Amino acid sequence: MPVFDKNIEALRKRYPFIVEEVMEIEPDPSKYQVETASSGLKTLRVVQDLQFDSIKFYMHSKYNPVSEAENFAKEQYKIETVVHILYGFGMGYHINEICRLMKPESKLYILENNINVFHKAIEERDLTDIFTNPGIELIISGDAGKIANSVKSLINDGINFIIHPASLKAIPSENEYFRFVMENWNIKKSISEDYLKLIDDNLKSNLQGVNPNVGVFFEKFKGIPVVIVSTGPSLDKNIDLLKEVKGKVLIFAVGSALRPLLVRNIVPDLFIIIDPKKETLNQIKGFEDIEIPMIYLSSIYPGTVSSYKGPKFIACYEKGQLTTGKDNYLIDPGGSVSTAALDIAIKMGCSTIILVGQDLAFIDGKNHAKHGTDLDINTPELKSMRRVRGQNGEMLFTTLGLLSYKYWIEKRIEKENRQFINASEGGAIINGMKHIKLKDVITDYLKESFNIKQRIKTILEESGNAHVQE
Amino acid sequence: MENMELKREVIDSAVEYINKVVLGIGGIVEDFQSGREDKATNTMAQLIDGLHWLLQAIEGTKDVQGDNFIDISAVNPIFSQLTEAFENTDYVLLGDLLEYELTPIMKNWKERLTFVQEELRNASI
Repeated sequence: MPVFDKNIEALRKRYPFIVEEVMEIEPDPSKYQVETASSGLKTLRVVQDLQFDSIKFYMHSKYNPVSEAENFAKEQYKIETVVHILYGFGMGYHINEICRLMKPESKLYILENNINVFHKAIEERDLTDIFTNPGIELIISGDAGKIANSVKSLINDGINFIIHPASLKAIPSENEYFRFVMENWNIKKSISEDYLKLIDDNLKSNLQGVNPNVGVFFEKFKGIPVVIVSTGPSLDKNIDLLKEVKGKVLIFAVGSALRPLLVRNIVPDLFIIIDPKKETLNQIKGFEDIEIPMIYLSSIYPGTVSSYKGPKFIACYEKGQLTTGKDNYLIDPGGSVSTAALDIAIKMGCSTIILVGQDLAFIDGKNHAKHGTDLDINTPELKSMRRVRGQNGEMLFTTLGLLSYKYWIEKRIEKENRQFINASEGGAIINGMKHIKLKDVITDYLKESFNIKQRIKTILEESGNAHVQE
Repeated sequence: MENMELKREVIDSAVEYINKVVLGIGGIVEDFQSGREDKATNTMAQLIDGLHWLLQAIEGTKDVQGDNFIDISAVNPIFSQLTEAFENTDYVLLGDLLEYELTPIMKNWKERLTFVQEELRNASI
């Protein structure tokens, strides 16, 4: 019996719905190329179309897929953990090796979203051992939603999640968000212990401080618009227009935007720093005495907190960090300083939330606006980089991190009943926001004037903060 | 004579360094194969710098290599394949090329450089 039929027969007994999906498709041989490895075993090369070109990559070694799979299983499979979830079936070599390490009570869930890859695997290799293994359960479907639903119920603290990297790349491009979720999961798993220790040390020090909580700002800016100034490369295009908006809008800067704003004599109304690393000191260097409120996340570098001489407000992201017991003071930082600023702006009650410099992508090879970072603002653009759709329909280069902020923002604003405007002149489209040039936002949306200074002064007085802005 | 002394020193460093390269490649391959792509790509950048120095060292000492002359152009096709694999983020192929194509060449170069080192030592006695 041909190997394909043998596999299908075994598969049908436990997974008739997977057989249905497999039988519906015929992989395009120009995109799924089977090659014979030097060891005589089969490997698969996938050609994936991008917008203007394509990338091609192997699923397994073209020299010795078994030895490669042994290394993978040895490193990724934790024998002492009972339940594992593996993303990526590939041709199954790594699964064969994992099976050798499994104990009778072990459970392995295998997820796969690319039916073409799976089809090729069952054409080329006898996989009946995997299909009949009682410790293994296959969750294979071209419908990413189906996989997500099945996985939800499996996620517990005790599981170990394994990614087969080549399979992750082979997730069809129409399921980009699903791929992002899988990849993000993998990255979270790999956060280094050094980084966690840094955060822990920072927290210990910052939580001993006596600065009031940012929660005192919440709901105090109802009816007032805010512009959140981030330092994406497009900020250079419209930053000068911010000179015209003082008093008409709350200017809320991320730490890295302080310098670009202040060198133009644009003084923001408040700013925020969230990064735990020492480098944030540079963001306030020379501006320690500017006397505008600084909001800082509880995990930032404590030296930055102590160096700043103006009024300071701590933002906490976990219940245990709150001394007041007011749960509504918690913020959701969302991973970046501009997402944290957005969350706080929403909680402050701002009626219209306007973003500038929120590119979420590289523009003409630049990663930041001028003065927006101490590091090189140029990023070489490589074919292998992630891409995101730009405001003019173009595809822009980006990173997984920036993409995660885009998705976070889109989710965060989904249920908020107020206006969100992306006035960044360039960069990625943010779904759920209007995209309007800052010049037009100023004319059409910022007609009223507000005594923002007075409002902040009142908050500072009420919070007992020693520094009162004049 | 001074020039000769300098070349001897370069060969000594190259021998020492090529050992590290072989070990380094092994580590990168292991990282790629075991799913630690981030670590592997970071170390790759260091390896590329190191290889660049090694090629210069070999090129600069070709007049003293004698019978053990090393033709550095042998790695050109591998480098272009490595570049292509890198552009495609094909880390499986990248690992393969390092393990099965570049490592044997490095091991061969290591032997040759060791011979050259010995010859130069003997000549100076």
